[in-house]
Amino acid sequence: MNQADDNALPARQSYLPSRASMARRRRWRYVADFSAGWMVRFGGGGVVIALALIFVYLFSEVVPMLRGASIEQQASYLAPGADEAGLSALALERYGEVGMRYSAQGRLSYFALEDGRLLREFDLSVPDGVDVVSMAVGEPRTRQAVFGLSDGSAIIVEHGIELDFDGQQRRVAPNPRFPLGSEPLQVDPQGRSLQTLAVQSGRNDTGVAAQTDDGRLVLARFGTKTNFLTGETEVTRRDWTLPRPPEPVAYLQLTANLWSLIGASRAGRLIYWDISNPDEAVVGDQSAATGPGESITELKMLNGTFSWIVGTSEGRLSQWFLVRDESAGASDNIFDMVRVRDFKQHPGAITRIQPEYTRKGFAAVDAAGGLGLHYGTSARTLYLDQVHDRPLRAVGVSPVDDRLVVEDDRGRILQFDVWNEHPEVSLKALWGKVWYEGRQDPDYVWQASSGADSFEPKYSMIPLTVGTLKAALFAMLFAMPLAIAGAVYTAYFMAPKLRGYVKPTIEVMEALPTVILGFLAGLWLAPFLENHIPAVFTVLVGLPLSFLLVAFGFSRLPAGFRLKIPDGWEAVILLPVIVLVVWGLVALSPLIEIWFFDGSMRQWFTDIGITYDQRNALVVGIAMGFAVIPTIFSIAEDAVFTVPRHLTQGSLALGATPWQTVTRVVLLTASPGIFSAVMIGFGRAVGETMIVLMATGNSPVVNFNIFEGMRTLSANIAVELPETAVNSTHYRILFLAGLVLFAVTFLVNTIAELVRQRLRARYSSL
Amino acid sequence: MMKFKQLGFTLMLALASLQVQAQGRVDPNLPVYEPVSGVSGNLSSVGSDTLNNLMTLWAEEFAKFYPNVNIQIQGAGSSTAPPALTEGTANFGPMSRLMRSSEIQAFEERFGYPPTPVGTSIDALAVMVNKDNPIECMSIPEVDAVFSVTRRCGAPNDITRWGQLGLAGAWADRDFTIYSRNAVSGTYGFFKDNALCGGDFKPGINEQPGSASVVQGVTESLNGIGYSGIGYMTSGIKALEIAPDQGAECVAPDAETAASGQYPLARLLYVYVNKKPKQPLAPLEREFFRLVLSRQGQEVVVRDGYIPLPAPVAMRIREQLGL
Repeated sequence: MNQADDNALPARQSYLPSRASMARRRRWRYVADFSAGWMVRFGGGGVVIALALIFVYLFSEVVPMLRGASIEQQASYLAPGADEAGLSALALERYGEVGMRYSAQGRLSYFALEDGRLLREFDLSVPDGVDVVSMAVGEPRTRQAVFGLSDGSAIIVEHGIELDFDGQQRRVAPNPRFPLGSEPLQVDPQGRSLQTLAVQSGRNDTGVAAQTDDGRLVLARFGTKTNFLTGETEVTRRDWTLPRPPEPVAYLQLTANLWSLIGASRAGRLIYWDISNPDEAVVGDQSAATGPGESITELKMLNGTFSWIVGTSEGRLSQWFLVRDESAGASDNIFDMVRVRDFKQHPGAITRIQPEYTRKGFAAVDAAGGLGLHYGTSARTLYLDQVHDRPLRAVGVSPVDDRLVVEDDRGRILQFDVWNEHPEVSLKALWGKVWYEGRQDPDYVWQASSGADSFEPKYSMIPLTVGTLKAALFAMLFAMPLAIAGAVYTAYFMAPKLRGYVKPTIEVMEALPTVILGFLAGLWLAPFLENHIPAVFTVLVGLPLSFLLVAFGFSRLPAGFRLKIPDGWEAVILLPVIVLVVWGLVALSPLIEIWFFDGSMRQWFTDIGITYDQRNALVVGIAMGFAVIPTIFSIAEDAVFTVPRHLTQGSLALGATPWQTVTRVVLLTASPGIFSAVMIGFGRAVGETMIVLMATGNSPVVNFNIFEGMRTLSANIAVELPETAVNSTHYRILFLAGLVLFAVTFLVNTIAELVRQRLRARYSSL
Repeated sequence: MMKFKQLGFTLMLALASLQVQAQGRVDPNLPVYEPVSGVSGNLSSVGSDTLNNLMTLWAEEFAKFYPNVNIQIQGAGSSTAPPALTEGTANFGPMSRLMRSSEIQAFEERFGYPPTPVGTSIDALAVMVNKDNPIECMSIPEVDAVFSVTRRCGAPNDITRWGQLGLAGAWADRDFTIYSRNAVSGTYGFFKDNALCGGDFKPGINEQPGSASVVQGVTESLNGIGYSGIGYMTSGIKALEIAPDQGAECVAPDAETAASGQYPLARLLYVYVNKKPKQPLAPLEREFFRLVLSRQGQEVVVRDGYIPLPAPVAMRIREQLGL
């Protein structure tokens, strides 16, 4: 019958698709399935690849910091005037075209760097019958050298250059200058020969210290005053005789502020003179710098003239600086010399040290033909090798640290190209305590830049990492209890209608731009809290107490009244209570200050030794807590809400109270979800930038005091990245900070996921 | 956004200039600016926050003469100027300090010649406290001891209470809330070099993104102390007199002491420009500097609370630029 009907109907009136269209649909379905499958795979894979690429990119920016230094010999030739015997000094200009050489006779020659061709020669105007007896160079960036004469006078020369532009062509032309005139300047009023010399230029003062051949120590200062309006310079001269050294010194060095003079005797004793007031100059600290049988063969100030390097006949190099004596009983501004660090030992006696122009590094050459590149702050020896088979006697580095020349004892010059971009970085410099110039102790410090090149950058990641954790910790302390307790209440106890209002409202908070939260926290909340510190404590204790009181009072109300409030709406009663209690406690705060804290709790903190900053971790904790509450709340609430009904109902049916059900059944079952909510919230707090940037002082302190600020990794990147030169060490360290941040969040999320899965496996059997 | 910002600044400036109007006097020997024809294009400036208002005002003045010129001004901090000039994203780089040699080096590597600094006005970097603070004068070593850990200017002891500066009563035991600019700022670098003698700031300083927020911070904290260009002065704060050395005479930051160099924290404010050596400036840049170094341009300086250049200095700079 059926069959007959079927047969009677035309095939296309069937509601079933025809075989052909079935095949077509199947094919389409297959294509859709296939492409969807690949799209998902592509998307997922893309995310992983994108993450990997970010990681690879960050890493590729960081990797060059791990390279040491390398040098490559470019040329070798006899120096102009190589036949002259004795000491010489070498210098380079930054374009790598011209080299400068001072000979012991006081001749300054400029030569082409590529082939040693003599460009120009300048002789000092030394009076007849007077000899050049000594020579010293100042801080490299001043480009100054001083020649001591046998009549007690000295000539200061600057081996300057001049740029000459001829259309597009740049020419480097020799341009020596005599900043204080080309005539000899009287240093020793008694006119004795200047045997050992030091020169240094301060802001508007040039100092020359010298030891005369009769063992006296003299200091002359030449003050220059430039008229701001006319640009004219006038020079004033003063001189002093300093206390005689306990033993004759072979090397002298001045600091640029002309407050300290350092001398070294050949026997290995370092002597420090306090000449901040030259009329009352005193011999200060003395210290032995060498072992038995070892002598000092070189002494040079590093860039900035705050620390100096001592080289010895055994090839040892050590860095020293002055540290203020802060011990009880010490009088004001007494400094001691401290040996801060040692560098890798050279094979031969150190013959010359040349500090770099803008960094705390130096090049050293030795009598065995060895050349070393060392760096102060990071205590690294970046390069040390024998580059020549003869003893080396002079070395010059380029102002931009990309070239280097050395001269051997026969006057042959070797020229090298240098790659030494990131000597400041070492594991210890980034993560360990470093003893920075002039500080009392080794410390963790982040202070990356300044306006001057004499600045020693301080790149410790510890303050930033601690700051990041501190901000996240206080934010979580504020957010976690509120968000989790709120989530449990909303999901489990609250009336569905009320929940329908509450949950979206809190989730909308997520959309609040963090820059606005930071703005409010910094400009309004921080001063407000400073003026109402007692309220912080009273609210912390008073609010939960008032909840309990209200709950107790509510339970004592007549049943008829109580039942008027539907189940799950009790929380609404608390709203006016919260407002009233907070307002009351804030209003009470000035009174509390008067009663207990002598009028100001802020001052009380200061008096008992607690530092209080207006923009502190408390402010950040509250503001950032607000930012992470929606994240934690939303995920935790979902986790609690999706606990299977049969579990809770079973528990209730067996006679458990709602409270017992929550603590013993719901929370345990929802714990994987709550845990991942907390971890995601923590991840967000770690990476948050704007709030910390605006609501704290970005002070890189290393402590967990809730009343002090912090500087986080992310805020630091935001503050400093716009000012760094691309590919500089600072720039790469900021990328390293990004990498650390990335690694921390990656680690936290991975741990969170592992823990969540274990928790889920454990409680899924419930 | 730009308009809105400018409006805000203009309001603030109006307030600030009321106070200092009487201080600065524009040198009558300065030439009056005469517009020329054929100037158009984009005027973009990236750099100093201290100079931000000033650049905006100059640009407005400039736009009055040349309405066809497009103007864009950003002022996050002096250290943003060298990268912007080097990458060519700005034709003016206002800076409140001179460039470091490493910054000049980056520029030279690109163009083969160094950038040209043009002095435009004088600033007396002011150390300021809350207006209710009774202190009047601090010496440089005292400033150093308050702000730095290293005390390189020679103060014997760290200063952590206002009482150590001679204040009595309730002030004797008050501590400091120290506001500073952040490291991008030229003011930060200048202060570090001159007031801290090249030393290090204390780790607990509050680094603020702009001069206005330093001023705001000091206004909000009774025990606050900070520094900024004199152009940012408001009624909520008080600029201190500064003695160059312990026991030396106190010098108030004003036009006279800053121009004579008596005030220890006086400095020139620069605008860097990319000028090919031995070739004249492009018309837009040339006219901008002619305006800045004219009587009108220096009147703007006075209006913004800074100190105008004396005519001989301005003429020397004009000569160097070939204007």
